[in-house]
Amino acid sequence: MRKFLIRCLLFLLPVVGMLTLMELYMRHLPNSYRQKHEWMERHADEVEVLMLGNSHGLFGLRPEYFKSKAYNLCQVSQTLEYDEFLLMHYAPSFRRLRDVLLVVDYSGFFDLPLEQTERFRCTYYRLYMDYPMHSLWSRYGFELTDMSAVKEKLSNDRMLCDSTGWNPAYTVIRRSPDYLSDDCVKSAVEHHRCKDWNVAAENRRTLQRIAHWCRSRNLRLILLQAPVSRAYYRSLDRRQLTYLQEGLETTDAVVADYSTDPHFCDADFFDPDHLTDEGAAKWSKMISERFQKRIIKNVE
Amino acid sequence: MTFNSWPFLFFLPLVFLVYWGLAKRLRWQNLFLVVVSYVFYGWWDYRFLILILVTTLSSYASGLLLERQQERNTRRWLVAANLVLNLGILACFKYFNFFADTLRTLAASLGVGLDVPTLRLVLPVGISFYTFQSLSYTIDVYRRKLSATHDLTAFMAYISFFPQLVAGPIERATDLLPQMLRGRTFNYGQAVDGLRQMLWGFFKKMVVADTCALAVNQIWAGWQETDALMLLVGMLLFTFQIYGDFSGYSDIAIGTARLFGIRLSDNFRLPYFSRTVSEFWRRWHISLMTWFRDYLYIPLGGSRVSRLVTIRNVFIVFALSGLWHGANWTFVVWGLYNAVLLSLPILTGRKGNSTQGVPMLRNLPQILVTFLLVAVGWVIFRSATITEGFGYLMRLVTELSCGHLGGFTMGKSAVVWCLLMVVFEWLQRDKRHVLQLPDDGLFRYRSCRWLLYNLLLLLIILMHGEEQTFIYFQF
Repeated sequence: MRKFLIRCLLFLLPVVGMLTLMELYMRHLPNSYRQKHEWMERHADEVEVLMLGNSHGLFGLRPEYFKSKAYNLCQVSQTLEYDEFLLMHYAPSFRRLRDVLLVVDYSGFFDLPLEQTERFRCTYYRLYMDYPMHSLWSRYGFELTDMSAVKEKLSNDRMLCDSTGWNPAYTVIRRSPDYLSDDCVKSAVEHHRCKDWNVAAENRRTLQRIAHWCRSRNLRLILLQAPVSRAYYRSLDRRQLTYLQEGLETTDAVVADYSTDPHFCDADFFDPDHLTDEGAAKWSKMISERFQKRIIKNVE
Repeated sequence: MTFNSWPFLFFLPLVFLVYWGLAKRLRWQNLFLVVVSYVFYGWWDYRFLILILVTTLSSYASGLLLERQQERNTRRWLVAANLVLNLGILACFKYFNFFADTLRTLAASLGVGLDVPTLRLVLPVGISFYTFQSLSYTIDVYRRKLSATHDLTAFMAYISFFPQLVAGPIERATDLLPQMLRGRTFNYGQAVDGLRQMLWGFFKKMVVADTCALAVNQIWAGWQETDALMLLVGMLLFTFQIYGDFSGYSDIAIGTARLFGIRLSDNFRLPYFSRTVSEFWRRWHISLMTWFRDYLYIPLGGSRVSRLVTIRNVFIVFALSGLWHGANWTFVVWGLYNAVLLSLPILTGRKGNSTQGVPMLRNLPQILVTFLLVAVGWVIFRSATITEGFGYLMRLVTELSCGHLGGFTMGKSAVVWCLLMVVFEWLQRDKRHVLQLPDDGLFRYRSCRWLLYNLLLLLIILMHGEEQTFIYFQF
């Protein structure tokens, strides 16, 4: 028996050693989750405008165009569950926070929970942002449990962000020539088609909790719907759109819908539903200007 | 708890150490096995432990009563009562709604509105497996092939032994029960061989089957718009998925049992290298097929009757075997499809002498034909409805004949893993399992063997697909 146990340990040693080294290497690589967490740990008390939401916010909201001290805490596929967590997590440090810009649009409201779609992101929230819902002794406690994420991290700069939290990866130069082709539009719309209406209902409740929390802290919550290409907007499911609008309007927060804003043309987009860096600059300026005017109506 | 879950990673070493710590106290060792097996099962849903307990106690009591009773009719009543109870539980949890729906549809088609209630029941994991295992004990005691056991703990361990509790192999009391009744000593060679078999099982499940599952699910979700090539890929990948999933589970179960000094029967013998469909059924899910052979096919007369009666027997066995898999007509149709394939050689009077021994390269055409016939059956098995199954096959044929081949858009990595598995299994086809490496050549050096095992382990950890429940858990 002893021989068996010793041999088992000896056999596992190189594998465990190699995996440990690989895991350490992966964790050592820079990623926006850790970057943002570290930034917030140091500067959360200075933030006046906090941006939350999914990739539409990550690539579309450029804090540098805001007059107040703003920070982009969005991530790709960030669901409302994680938006709520981040808001609460850093809440004790907020000293000057006035406005919370939350991108809640068609794409995020109907997506299944991250655990079912992009599990590796749950791992990042767990490892780098202290998200407590998953155990470190589970598949969410190790980066190596999802090789597709490892590959993405090693080969892609979508995992990074600049000092304001914005991700500059979506530039015009990098844009695919057929970025607004029928196939691209179809696949983008299909990606966000509602698969489970219970998720949407849960998102409504989460949104109401966030709104309630902001109100109780005297913070202005601005719910943003990002600009999208016309072809994309035309293909959206009307029932989902109506459900989204109703959900937003029940919160008594400020709703700013840019999804059909005529200031945006096809050239502003990187793909059917994401802005390029220039499009992002345009959108950020527009929001900033509206801030200066001080929004007085709840729904614009 | 499942083999491919995190808790099992901690559960197994802990159970292994405590189990061998109790090595010289058989009663305690068996009691420990029962407790950990119940924990293993209860991890999923502890409420259903009561069903295992009822099945176990009723079979144990039947055995004792059958042993004491000499009068033939009373013995018959006893065994019938046990069959009714256990099959009744199975029927209630697994088939009630299926039969209710069928009855309702049938009545509706005759213009009669029938109000048959449906039950909202969760299907207990592995119920078909442990029910059949307990039935084999009662029937064997009734047939006097086995003496009834008086050791309740050993009997409970036999029914609930955790490696094979939820998805087999369905062990016969004549094989497993005696192992529970005698002392077990740790055997280094057996334990190491068990680990090797587990390793290959994990590779088949987590790398091959789970990677195939991703592509298969996507293809099946949109089969109505998919081109011929991807429909073909979907069919072939599911053929490998179900094999990797189920034979992988069996390998892990058999390997785990060997760590505990218990030998379980083989459940798969490289079925996709079969040269005929009948050979395939001698190599696929062996424990279930031999169960049906011994307790149904042979009592019905087997093949020692006229051709027509033999064919009738084959149809009965395969229709029931299909139904055993699940409460859906797709499984019955799949069973009947296989019965048709098996009946053809009986009708033509061809004996399968050529299927003895290890398959060789010269058998490749027969192997490919058998493989394709089996793969067609899996399409029906995989589909949610009979319409979907036949629709998928019809579309495949139509698109192929129209030359709408389309592109190879998904499942490339799955194809690579399937090929790797097939190559390994072909090279090791004369061994009991793939990782029984030859003692000559490179593998006579431990470092080379370990390197291969380490590579496999790394592949499993790094390249596994998205976690999927074992397909056979639903049965």
